[in-house]
Amino acid sequence: MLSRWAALALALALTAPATSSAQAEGDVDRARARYAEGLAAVDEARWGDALEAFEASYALSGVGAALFNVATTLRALGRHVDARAALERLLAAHPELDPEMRAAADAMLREERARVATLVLAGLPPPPAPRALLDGVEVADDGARPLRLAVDPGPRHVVVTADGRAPFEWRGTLADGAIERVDVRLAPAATGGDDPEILLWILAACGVALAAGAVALGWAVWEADEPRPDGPQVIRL
Amino acid sequence: MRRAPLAIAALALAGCSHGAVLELTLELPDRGDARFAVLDAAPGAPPDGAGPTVAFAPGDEAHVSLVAGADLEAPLHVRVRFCEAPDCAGEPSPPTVRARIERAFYPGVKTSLTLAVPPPPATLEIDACRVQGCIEGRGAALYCVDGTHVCEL
Repeated sequence: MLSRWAALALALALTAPATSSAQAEGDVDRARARYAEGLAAVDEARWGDALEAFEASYALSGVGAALFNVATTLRALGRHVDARAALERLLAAHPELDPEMRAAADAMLREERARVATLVLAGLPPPPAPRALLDGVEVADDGARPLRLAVDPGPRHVVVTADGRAPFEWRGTLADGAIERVDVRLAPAATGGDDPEILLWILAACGVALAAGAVALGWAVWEADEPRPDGPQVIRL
Repeated sequence: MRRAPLAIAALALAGCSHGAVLELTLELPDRGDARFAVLDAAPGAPPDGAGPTVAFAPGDEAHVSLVAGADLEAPLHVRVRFCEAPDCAGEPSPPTVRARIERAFYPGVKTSLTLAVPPPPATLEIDACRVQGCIEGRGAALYCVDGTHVCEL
């Protein structure tokens, strides 16, 4: 849960005289207002709104306490990968941080690191050919093999695509801190359906088949409608 | 892909006009001096003897199916020669009845006409409206509406 003393620390920081010429008085006012909005959202368990408000407050003020609240809100949302990143940034970028807040951030960071799971994608071809999606979002591929992805615990969905290959798909549920190896197997596309030339041939074959069918049907109808002589005595002119 | 032009041509062919048939019934006169009534026909001009013929016994009711060639709109000329031989061989000027049918054929239609053939020599002009087709019924002038054959409507 969000700590009220962090809120107090932020409030104090925001009420102190501005030391940077870039920190305009208007920004401080807006940061304070957004921060208050975040606190109100937390009280109502509107975590998405709270996160947006705290992020805006931090962007306007640059105060470490605001970033601390961003991290705690991310943790409440179950976004442990992002919470870990926010805490690491907080500890690295804010040496002025109150010692108590720093100690709390350190403890929270240890917890988050323990909760973040890892997906190890083995068998990926080198970039730029493959494209990996984690829960529908493309992941950054730094070229390292196997590709290690820090993911939030819980149900996850991975899709890997590559030109000329059938898509590879994996679904699984990861426990806190789990490390899961996924062997990616990109089989050749079954029909070559992505090959424009083959597509053209398939379309052409379909066209010929349709035309032949139309001819056969037309011929059958034509033959059926053709008047025929009644008797044996016939003169063809 | 080389079949595509063939398919298109066949489609075009399928969309072309149909053939046509005239079922012609002749009420032939009895001629004691002739054994055969020899019929032939040609579109556009009187038959010249080069085409096919069919032979019937005079005095009978004869039936022949005339299958149209390419020209459906030309007048149809029918000739009935009364001969000793079924092909009128060696008979250059037999007694003959000629009939000119203004129009006998319509695309995709089987028409019919019954002619009472008079004793030769004779020449008949048959109005297109006497050719039955496209509607049920019999009778002169039944098959035209305001001068247009019902098969063309």
